Amino acid sequence: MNDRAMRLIDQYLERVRTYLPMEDEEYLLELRTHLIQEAERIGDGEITPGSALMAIERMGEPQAVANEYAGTGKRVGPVPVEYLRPLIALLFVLASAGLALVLGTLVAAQVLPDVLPVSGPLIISWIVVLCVLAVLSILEQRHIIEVQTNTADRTLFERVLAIGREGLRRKTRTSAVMDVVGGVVISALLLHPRLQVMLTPVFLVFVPYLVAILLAQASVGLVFLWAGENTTSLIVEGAVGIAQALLASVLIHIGWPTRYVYLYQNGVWTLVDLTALLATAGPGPDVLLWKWVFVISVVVAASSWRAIVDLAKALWYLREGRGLWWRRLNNGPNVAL
Amino acid sequence: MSDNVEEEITRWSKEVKRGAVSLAVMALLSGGRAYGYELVKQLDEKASFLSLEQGTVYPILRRLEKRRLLAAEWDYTDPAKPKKYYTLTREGEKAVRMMSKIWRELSDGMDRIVKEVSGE
Repeated sequence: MNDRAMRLIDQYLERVRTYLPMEDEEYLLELRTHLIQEAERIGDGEITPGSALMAIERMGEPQAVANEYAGTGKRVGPVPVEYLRPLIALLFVLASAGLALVLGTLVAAQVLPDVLPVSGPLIISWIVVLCVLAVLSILEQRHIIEVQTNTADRTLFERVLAIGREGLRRKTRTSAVMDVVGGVVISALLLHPRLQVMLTPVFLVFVPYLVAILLAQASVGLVFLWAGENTTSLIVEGAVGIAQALLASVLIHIGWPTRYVYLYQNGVWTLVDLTALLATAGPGPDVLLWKWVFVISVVVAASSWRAIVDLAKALWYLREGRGLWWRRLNNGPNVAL
Repeated sequence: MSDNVEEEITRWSKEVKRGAVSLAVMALLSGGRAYGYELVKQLDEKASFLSLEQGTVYPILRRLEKRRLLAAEWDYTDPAKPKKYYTLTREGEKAVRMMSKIWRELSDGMDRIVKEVSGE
């Protein structure tokens, strides 16, 4: 089958999935078979990107297809039912990230001698993020920017929020490989003596915990590579996500983690004090704290979102009676090992 | 035609079709088991007047299955294109007979009224 055509069909189905309750995998599987067969019919037995797009067009707008299934015109309070799930997801992420940061502040106050005042940069970071989202939403509503070129594409707003395809799809093998390679490589770098001399003493205290989480993440990647997504791999990944969010929430209070940088001067690499360098030749060391707070906020939000999605999916699989360990064969039945 | 009238006709036509599709799907299944795509194609062929969006048939199938009027079974012979086959249950067979009777009565009654009003 044509890869690009199949990718279009799967992207379209992920958009439908965004607006459906989680228990409706079978519905999507039926639609998938329908789209493949319709695309084959249109392409005289061959499936091409063009025939896939025509089949998708005939099926209708993803939101309308999901509405037909979930019921049209329904509202939960003031919210149309089709927006409920994306909205709940967004609120969960914000609430979880907020909770993680509050917990992190409490823990940091216990273990760190001088907790940095990060609430100012933190609030500004969140305001910036919310403003960006609001502007994107307005621009899309007014059709000033449109990235959606066909019904298989997602809107820019959904893309930024990672709702649907990015958030709920099964982890790809590439992503699992990146988890393994990223976890091992960053751990090795963090443990390398030449790089450790660059780090601040307070950050060095947390390096073993960070390495443990990175290696756990690499192990999760290996499990996904071997068995694919199943209840156990999701639970473990969810637990790693929670640990990541909590550690990041503590780390946010220690400020920028590198004290020195290597500079190439007079033919040799020498260590230069970053704070002194920025104080003389830059906007000042405060800018590093702001950058750090922004990056860590994103890490906390992303890890919280990952943990929520993983644990919700694991519960859903358990409710379906699939047990803790099984393997999926393509789109066929799940096979217990 | 004003926008209001057009909107009303669209809404009414959708409602009528929606009711008809459930009966059409069950009537087709009384001839033997079929999966979603087959049913959509048969509806296109035999009941093109329903001019359905293709995605509307599947929610109806799921609803009828949930109400135990249809039974379903997955066929994974072709793993790339698994098919969910639907058959009428006993309850479904009874229901389709009743629905057909109601449909005929409704259709006859409506025919008479429409003819009287339009003076045919």
